[in-house]
Amino acid sequence: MDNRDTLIEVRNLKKFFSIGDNTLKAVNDISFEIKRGETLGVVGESGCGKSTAGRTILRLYDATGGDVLFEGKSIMNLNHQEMKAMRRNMQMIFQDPYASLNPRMTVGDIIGEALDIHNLASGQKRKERIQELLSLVSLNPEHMNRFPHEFSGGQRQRIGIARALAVEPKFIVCDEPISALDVSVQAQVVNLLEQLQEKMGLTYMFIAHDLSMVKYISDRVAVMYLGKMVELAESDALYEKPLHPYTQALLSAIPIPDPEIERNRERIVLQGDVPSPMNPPSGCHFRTRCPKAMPECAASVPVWKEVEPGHFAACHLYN
Amino acid sequence: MQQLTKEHFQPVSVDLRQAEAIKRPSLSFWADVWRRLKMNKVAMASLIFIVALMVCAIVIPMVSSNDYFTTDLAGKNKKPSAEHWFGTDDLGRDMFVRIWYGARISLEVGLAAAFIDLIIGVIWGGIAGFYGGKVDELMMRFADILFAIPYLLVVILLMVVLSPGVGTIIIALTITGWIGMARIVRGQILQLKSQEFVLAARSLGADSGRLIFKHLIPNALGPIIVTLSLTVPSAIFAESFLSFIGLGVAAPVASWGTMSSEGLPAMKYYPWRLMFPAIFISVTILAFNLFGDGLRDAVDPRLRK
Amino acid sequence: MERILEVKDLHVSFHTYAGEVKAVRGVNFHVNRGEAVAIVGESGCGKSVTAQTLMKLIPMPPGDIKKGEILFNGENIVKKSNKEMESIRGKDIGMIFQDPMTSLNPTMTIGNQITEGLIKHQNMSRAAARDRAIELLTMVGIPQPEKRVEQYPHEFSGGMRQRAMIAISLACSPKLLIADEPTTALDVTIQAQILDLMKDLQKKTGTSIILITHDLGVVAEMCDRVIVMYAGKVIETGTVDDIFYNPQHPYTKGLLRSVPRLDLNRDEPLTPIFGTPPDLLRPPVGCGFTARCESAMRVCQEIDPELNEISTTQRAACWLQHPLAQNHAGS
Repeated sequence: MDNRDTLIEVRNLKKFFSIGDNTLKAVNDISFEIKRGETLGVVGESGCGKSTAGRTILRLYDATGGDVLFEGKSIMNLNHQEMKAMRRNMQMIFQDPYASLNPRMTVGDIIGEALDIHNLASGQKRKERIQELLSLVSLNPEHMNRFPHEFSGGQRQRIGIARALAVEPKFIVCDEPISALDVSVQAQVVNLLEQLQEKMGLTYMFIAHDLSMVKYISDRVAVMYLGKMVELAESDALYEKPLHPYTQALLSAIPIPDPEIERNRERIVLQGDVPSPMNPPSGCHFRTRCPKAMPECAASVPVWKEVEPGHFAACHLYN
Repeated sequence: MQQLTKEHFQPVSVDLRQAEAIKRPSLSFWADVWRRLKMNKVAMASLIFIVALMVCAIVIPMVSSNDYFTTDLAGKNKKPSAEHWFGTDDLGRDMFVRIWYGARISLEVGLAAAFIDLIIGVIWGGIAGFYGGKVDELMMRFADILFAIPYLLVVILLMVVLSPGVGTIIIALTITGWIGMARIVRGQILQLKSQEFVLAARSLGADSGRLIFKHLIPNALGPIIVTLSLTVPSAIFAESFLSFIGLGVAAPVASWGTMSSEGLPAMKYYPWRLMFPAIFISVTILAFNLFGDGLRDAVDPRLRK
Repeated sequence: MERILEVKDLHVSFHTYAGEVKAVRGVNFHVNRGEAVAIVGESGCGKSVTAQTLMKLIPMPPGDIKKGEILFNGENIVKKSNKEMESIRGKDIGMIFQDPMTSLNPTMTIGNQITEGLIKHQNMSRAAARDRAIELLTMVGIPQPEKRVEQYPHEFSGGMRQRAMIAISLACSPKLLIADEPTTALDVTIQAQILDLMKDLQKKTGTSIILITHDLGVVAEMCDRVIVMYAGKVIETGTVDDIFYNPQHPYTKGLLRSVPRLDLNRDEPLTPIFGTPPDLLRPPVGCGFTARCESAMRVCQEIDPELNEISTTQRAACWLQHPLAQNHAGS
């Protein structure tokens, strides 16, 4: 994998929101890269900043600080025209299959919108391209004149995928694309994403809170907690040997669909709730719930370092 | 129970495409609204009444042998008869034709005021909601200030400055009338612009114009049309009221308001002179309101229950 | 074993403009005292409608209980009036909903929401009910219960709200607790806390639980028996071990194969179930799963299979169980 070139590089990315007099540090200084053709999974609980990170990387939000490089070129200072051209490279698949499709537009127009915006096709060609995209995501091309509400959740999510693919992007941020779907349908969408990746050489940033699915689809996985990245490693390494106590607890919390294993399992149950991201604890944000917290954890922010080759973590246990 | 044979247990190939087939009939949003509206008998009756009123207001003054201004002092204050269906007024003018001329004015004022409210309200509210922040703050505060000025005072001032007439009434009604529409549109846009489909359009590179006209306005159209349909009756009422208190259209033009005003002193002796315009004002406003209510239920069925 | 709840041939429909949607089409199952039973299935399979019908919480109209009996402690709930239901809801049967934010009243303190039922159903004095509320909040693991009892739902976090919801539903020591996706809206670390709590409380109070979920991991962790629903029918039922280690219905098998497992190697491909469930506006004549089933036979398209006994604990509704179908069963 290391011989693949870097497609996306995120450097010290920050995104703060001001809410009244408070500052919500949704994404607080995260750095990582994504190789071409790779799937990077990003997991964490609600409020950890994973979705904000995805949206800021695509410049749907203006970053407070830091930089995002696409094929070595910064996208933060592109002007309106340049950014519009850049959008053909980077696309997004959304979480909510109901809210992410305009209810007043037909499926054909939803997918065709990308073609219209970038003047990619018109007339008969546009229709053919829309039908081709629908077939690509295993939907019936004859349904192009129907409205989103006539489709099931899984079908709608595939329409969202077809819309993203219309501009032939290289990089797609998948923002919890399966968490609103039924289990039997989740596998359909995940398999489709994998097939498309193989066929078109796509690079994914796969945001989710379902660690089992993230493990299945990702080459590498990053774990976030309260705006910070706490661990990043190859998928198998992360699940076999999690370093950060938060990752350990997260993995332990997931019920496994096997009654025998569940009966004999000792799980780490974290005490308390996730603190408010508006006012996170000093030092290491996780220390208030960490079973291994030390006095040092309150005093200083742990540094992000490569503990083992390719395995990064931010925890005082490894200093 | 039929006998099961080995034949029954032969495997069949299943076309997975079939499992994806959509069996329900396709229905666009507006077709669905129309379907729900049609089921509402009261709203449909109101709609039929409104359409009939419009057709009559256009046709009857055109084909009638009487007109609204010719006086006939010999035949004044006549009871309703075959010749004069609604009787005549104190100058012997035919009430029937005057009622339909009045309908023209009422509808003209109602529709024009609603239309101007729509244009200004959608643009003002749309811009405030879409850009948000300081722009929103400034624009909506301006609207609030305008809204705080007593409406009757504005009307009287306008009547003094401008000559009385239909145009002046429309200006008077719309000078503050658009604020309600602007507030509705702004609220809708604020709510819609954070939806994922708008974000999706932005990530595709859509510009502000496309976002507003393709994504935001079409989704806010339901509440806009409902507000619009309820603006019409309030404008009709306002016109009648202003004409009634003498701030409306000038003689000899017939308006339901001026006719009621003229009919009031003679109520005891010639009741039809007050009765007909009053009935038309009430029934028309009622019909528009019932239709607007029905439309609201049809556009957003969750509101009922 | 004593049966606390028995559902017999339940049919529930919803009348919509397009026609009658047959959401539940002849459901039979029972719950024993002290048992945790899971109802699993996709959205639209009728699991939530079934659960809400048990409490007669479905809006009528458009909902309509067409047929069937729900015997709770031997009494038929279907026949009960609204007034009679009020004394059963919250007292004998408790319910926990998916979204703790919308199922709590935002304008009432948590304490008042707990004591409401106690005062109404058990004629407790206000002071005694308040003491009991504090006791319940302690039991569900809410710190500083004396202070929390005076607070409003918005002052609670998501996990705390679900704990409060559990405290409310347990206030009158119900014999049956219906939990409709109780942890779906929560984060995994909070889910682990809530599941722990529910298991613990069940051990202590001996309440029967019906857990409605789509998460097979939660089922494996929490439940004794499983009811698998598809297209408004029960298609398989058995103990957790039966269902997880010896599934008989192709849909159950498909469901188990379509979820990735944290403990297995990720090279194993996921096998999705293709297609979507049938539209219950026009339910198919034969087995509802035929259109998505790889082992479909002619009979499946024509006749709907009945639940067949596989073992004393397990039953499945599939023509593959028929003696004439044995040749294909393996394929």
